[in-house]
Amino acid sequence: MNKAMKWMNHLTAILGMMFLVFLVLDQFNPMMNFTDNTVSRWLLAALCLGAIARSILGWRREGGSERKTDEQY
Amino acid sequence: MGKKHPVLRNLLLDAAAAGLALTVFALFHHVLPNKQQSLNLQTARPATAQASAAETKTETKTETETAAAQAADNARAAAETKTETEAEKTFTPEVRMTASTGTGETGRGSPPGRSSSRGGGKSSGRNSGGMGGNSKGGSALEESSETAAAVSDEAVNVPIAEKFADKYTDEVIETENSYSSQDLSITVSEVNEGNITYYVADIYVRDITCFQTALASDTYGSGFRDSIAGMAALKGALLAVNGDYYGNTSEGVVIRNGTIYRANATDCDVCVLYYDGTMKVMPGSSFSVEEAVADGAWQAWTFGPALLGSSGEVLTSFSSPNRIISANPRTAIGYYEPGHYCLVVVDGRGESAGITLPQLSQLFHELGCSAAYNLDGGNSSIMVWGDEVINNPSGGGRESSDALLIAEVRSDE
Repeated sequence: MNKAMKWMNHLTAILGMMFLVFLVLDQFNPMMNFTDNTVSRWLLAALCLGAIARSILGWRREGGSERKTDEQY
Repeated sequence: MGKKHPVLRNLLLDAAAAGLALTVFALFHHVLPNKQQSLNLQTARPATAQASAAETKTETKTETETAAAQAADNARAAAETKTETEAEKTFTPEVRMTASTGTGETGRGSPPGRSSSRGGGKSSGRNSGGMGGNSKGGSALEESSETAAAVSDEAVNVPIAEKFADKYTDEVIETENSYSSQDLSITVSEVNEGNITYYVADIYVRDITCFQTALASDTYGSGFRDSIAGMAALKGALLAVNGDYYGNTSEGVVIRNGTIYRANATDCDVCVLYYDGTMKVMPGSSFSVEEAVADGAWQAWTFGPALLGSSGEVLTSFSSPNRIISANPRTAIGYYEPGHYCLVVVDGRGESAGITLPQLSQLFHELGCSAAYNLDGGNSSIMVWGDEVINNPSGGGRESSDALLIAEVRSDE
């Protein structure tokens, strides 16, 4: 679980940075179509999936720690 | 640092990984030459020219393209008879096209031997105030699904040979800034207007195969680049300008010398030049490869935007980012009527300030064009006349993946 969380963090950070670069480049040269080509669409899908998975893992961890806190009291 | 600042460490690691991924992405998409396959389609060219076509393509269709290819084949078959008769009606010199290379792959004209002086024909041009772009054009292209040049059917159907007969000469006549022959008439002029310098090539072609395009390294794909002068020299072109730099992206319509290389239109406007000499500029959403094949597309470019509205009116608003709309070096193509075109290259980022898109629209309106289309600009904007670059390319210019050429195709005598 922790390992998956760690990888998801890296995945979302890397893809997020890549898309920031794409957005900046797209402002300078929209004809190169950085943000809307086949590869970037797949990368965007990976970013979305990574973010969702990261959220789910985060919620599960939150739930687990809340349960532990409830049990303690 | 790793244990003290785990967040910073992870960020740096991820930034490095992202940089690596971007480098790989750029290498495979834009830098490393990567030959790609065409759709293996011939456009519905006139039968005689088709028979003489030198291009024999054996490329296989990719799975994703097969459906479009089959549909286009059907459309081509259906349109074949129609196209043959129409082509004969609108273009008289098919016999010559048979004798020529047909595909326009090899221009045989000798470049005009001129001195090293600029294109000559300097004119004071119009008043600088004339390019203010005052009239309202709006985004007319968005309103009409397909914006063709405002040319009446009657105009289209008059054989070009008759229409511009006075422009052509039996003998080749070359001057410093002009060239005329049996099939071609080109006049190049340099215009200084305020702080803007631009070059206009007024072109009449009797045979549309004189209006060619060249691919860098004579190969379709990404990562291939060549100088405009180099491509012009290779094809024996009289005049050349940069094209749409199709190799910069993997999407967008690419039809070159009658061969469809790519048919996946984007949001960008598409400019199509047909065998009958007409030129249409349409939104990418309206482009259909079946229609293009049925109508006999000879060239198609994806860059844009369209510079004139559906009835040739000036456009004052463009959906491009401000950075793109602002004053820059430009290359654009203008269309008057079948057989009559102009190529315009505007210098910028130097002594000449460059031109904004609304100003460029105004310029084409004043030139009298009924349709106009913006091609790749910035450092790419280059015009070659004979064997010499006649403009002052920004940053010394750059290599491009394609060029528009005007060349002789007649196999003479």
